[in-house]
Amino acid sequence: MISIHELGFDIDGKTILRDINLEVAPGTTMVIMGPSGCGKSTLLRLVCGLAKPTRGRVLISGKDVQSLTPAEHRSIGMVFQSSALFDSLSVYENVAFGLRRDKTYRPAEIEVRVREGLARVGLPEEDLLQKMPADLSGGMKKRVAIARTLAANPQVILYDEPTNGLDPIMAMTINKLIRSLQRDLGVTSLVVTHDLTTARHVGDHFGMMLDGALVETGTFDQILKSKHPVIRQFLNVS
Amino acid sequence: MKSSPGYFYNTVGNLGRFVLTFFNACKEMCYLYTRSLWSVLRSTIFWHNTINEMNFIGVNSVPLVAIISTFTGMVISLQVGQIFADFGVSSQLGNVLAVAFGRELAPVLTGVVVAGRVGSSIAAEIGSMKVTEQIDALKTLSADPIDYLVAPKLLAAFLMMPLLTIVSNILGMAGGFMVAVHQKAVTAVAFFESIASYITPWNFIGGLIKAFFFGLVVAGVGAYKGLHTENGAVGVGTATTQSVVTGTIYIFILNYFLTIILY
Ligand SMILES: Nc1ncnc2c1ncn2[C@@H]1O[C@H](COP(=O)(O)OP(=O)(O)O)[C@@H](O)[C@H]1O
Ligand SMILES: [Mg+2]
Repeated sequence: MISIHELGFDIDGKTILRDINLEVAPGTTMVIMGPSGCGKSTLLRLVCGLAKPTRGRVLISGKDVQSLTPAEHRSIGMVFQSSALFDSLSVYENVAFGLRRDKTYRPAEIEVRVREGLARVGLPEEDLLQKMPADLSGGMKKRVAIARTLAANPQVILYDEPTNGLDPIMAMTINKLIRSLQRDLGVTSLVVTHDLTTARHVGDHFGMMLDGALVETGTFDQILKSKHPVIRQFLNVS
Repeated sequence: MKSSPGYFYNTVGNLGRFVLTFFNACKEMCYLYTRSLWSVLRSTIFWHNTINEMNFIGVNSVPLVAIISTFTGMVISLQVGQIFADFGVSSQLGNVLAVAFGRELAPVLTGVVVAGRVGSSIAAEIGSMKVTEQIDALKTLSADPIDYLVAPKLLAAFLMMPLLTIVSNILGMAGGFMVAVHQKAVTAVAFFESIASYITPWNFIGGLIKAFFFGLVVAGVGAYKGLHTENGAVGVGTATTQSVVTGTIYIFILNYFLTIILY
């Protein structure tokens, strides 16, 4: 579903990502772990086409992300680290945003899908619809952001540090949500995080990234048993 | 140290970098303008946002433009009226006010007001959307940030600046007229006759042409600074300040050259 070939990315003469090779099978969740600044967000930006690779390529269902049509682009959902809700729009308008871009939806359908999306992330309350993002807690913002991504019916969802900055209970709610979306909707997911609890809960396959390179892949146990000294250090302090 | 070759090369290097940055900025602003024009021509612009922006840029700026223009007109009448009275040419006050406002003061004052109020808010809004990944979120939902944000603001500023300038003209002249009649003993007839005998429509049209350009400059600088915001909240503050400073400087420089061309 997602295949990454020899991916590399430079900015201002500095190499941010080097020689990344990765396959995420349809309907599975791949988690990339790594310390801050190792290039996790950059990887996601390349996978959803927000940035152009310097070397190599990213294929989604066999097509290069750089040459997708707008509709195909909308099938790749991204949940940003800061949630990135549009703060001038209500919760309803945020979730409806992608649907309004797709001219095939009629207004009645949009309303149904917005309500469905919010119910799926555990926010069915009617009075939430007209609230502005500034009035929401961090956990609610994250869930609205996931609902906005879901509304566009994505086949692939990318999560950038989905539980960062949330309390442990909310973090667990988000972990379960990510799992349930994969199970119920069959979406293919790529999650990047530095949180081991989140990683273990949501992932089927795991990778460890250090300084722009993917240094280890495998099951969670395989990563835990890694002999790589920096990985050992990362796991011990986490 | 100052005479060492290292210092010399450093200075040349910095100058070179400055020139490069400046030309890069010009290139990117040209891209913003042409891409926005394209957005309007192909109607991919978000019209709903354009209406909101016209309301914010135009309607909400009226009180400030009105106050500044009225009092400027009044103070000119006071000062110039005194000199004219000494020379016995008080009746020419209308003529002078029409030249001052129609050609220069109305577009420039309005431009400065819009740079302070609108340019800053454009930079702040786009800048905070940039640092909170909302610009990226627009892209992933296949809404181009130019169509959604930049083009509506540019078009709204382009359309509303001349209207605000008309308001400034009317109120500036009215303020000047009131002081002339009530404090400088100029008769209303003399005031309007002096305008009618010297002033052509071009006097005001040229000012409105300037206003179109000032609107584009202010909104363009705001959008450019916003889109280039880095470093979180601090960066948003810097971008906001820079958009006002740069926008105002550009207005005054551009005004000089437009005056040469138009009058
Ligand atoms: N636009 C950019 N310009 C310069 N450096 C960047 C840019 N984006 C990311 N970087 C650098 O790339 C590295 C990886 O960043 P990022 O992908 O955000 O890491 P992570 O998400 O793992 O914390 C960091 O060292 C960061 O400073
Ligand atoms: Mg990151």
